[in-house]
Amino acid sequence: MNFQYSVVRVMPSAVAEECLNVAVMIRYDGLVQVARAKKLERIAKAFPTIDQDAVEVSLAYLDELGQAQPDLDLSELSRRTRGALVQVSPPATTVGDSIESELRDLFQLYVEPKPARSPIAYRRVSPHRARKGTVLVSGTAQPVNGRRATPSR
Amino acid sequence: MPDSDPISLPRVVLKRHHRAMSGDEGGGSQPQVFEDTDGRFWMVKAPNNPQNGQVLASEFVAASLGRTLSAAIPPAAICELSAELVADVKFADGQPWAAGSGFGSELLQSSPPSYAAGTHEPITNCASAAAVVVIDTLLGSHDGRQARACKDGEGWAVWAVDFGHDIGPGAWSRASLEALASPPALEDGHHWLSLATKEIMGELAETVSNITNEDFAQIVGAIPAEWGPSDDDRVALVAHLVRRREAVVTLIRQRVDA
Repeated sequence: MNFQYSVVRVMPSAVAEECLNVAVMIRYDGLVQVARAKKLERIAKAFPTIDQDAVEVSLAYLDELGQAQPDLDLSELSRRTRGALVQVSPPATTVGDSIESELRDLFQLYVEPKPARSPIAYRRVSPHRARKGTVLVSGTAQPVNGRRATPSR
Repeated sequence: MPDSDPISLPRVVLKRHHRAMSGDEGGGSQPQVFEDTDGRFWMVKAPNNPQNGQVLASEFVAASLGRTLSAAIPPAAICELSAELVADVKFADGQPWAAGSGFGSELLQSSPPSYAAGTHEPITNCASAAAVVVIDTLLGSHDGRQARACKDGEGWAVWAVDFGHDIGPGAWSRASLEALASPPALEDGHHWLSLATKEIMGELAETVSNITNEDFAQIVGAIPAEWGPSDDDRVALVAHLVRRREAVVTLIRQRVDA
């Protein structure tokens, strides 16, 4: 099954355009679900002067919208919220078995991220020389951590 | 194709679209960010990207050789794009993405800046960077070398990105390959070779000279058919690589002996 999803962002200034992700909306076959951050502490820390009540009202509106309009068009919602305090991103597609698991996965990715799941292991894919900790400057091998350069092959 | 294949590329299935890449982040092929079924993130070029299918073939050959030479090129893969996943994905002019096989380069997730000589020093992966120079020369670069710089301990690891204009400026053919002159020098726009010791260069010369004609044929033969090089162009590409291998090895050895 393929689902449409959007990320909900709080953007206090339409000029500065700094923002934080606070929720994810996902839509499939007449069902819209929203997963939102339980607490808005991150927003309060990042934007101390923000009107948190206004954020809450906007998020509650999106919650209600999802329930009241299951045929909600996320593209249209994205257009309508452009420049607003709480904005909905243009929708993208995810393919999976259930709306719940996709929503959970997206929420963890966009709103409550853990450390990157699969960063490139630079050291692992770098050649032997780099793994040994050798830094080369202007053609001269300079061992790091007291180790001497060794041939890679 | 198994990931353990030493010279070709793995195949991954994409399950989620994230976003378009814009400006210098993306380029003329208008790649987009996707996630595969294992949670890895890829910068993916579409099979019907606005440049040409052969841009993907060039990327494929460069990435495959990159594995062989331990070059500073992000891991790459053939990315399977289902029709349902790309149904709403469009190019800037509104044309839809085609389903099928795209080329994917693993996303450098720490948002690394573009490499700038003098700013991102010292380079910690000099041998891998030198291997990129060798690949650009072997294929024949038709564009400046783009790279990203990732903080790596006390220095920076450089990662070369976008080989779409190696081999040819987008499209290439037997005629264009046969018209290319032998490389007069190693294509080292960033002077990465100045950081490579004679030992590194000697090892590179040895590794390149050990790539067999059959290795080249295997790599070229593994380019997905939908990316377009005809059988005749593939034969010409193998001949091109064989010809330039000798020239590249000579250029490297001249540098070692200098």
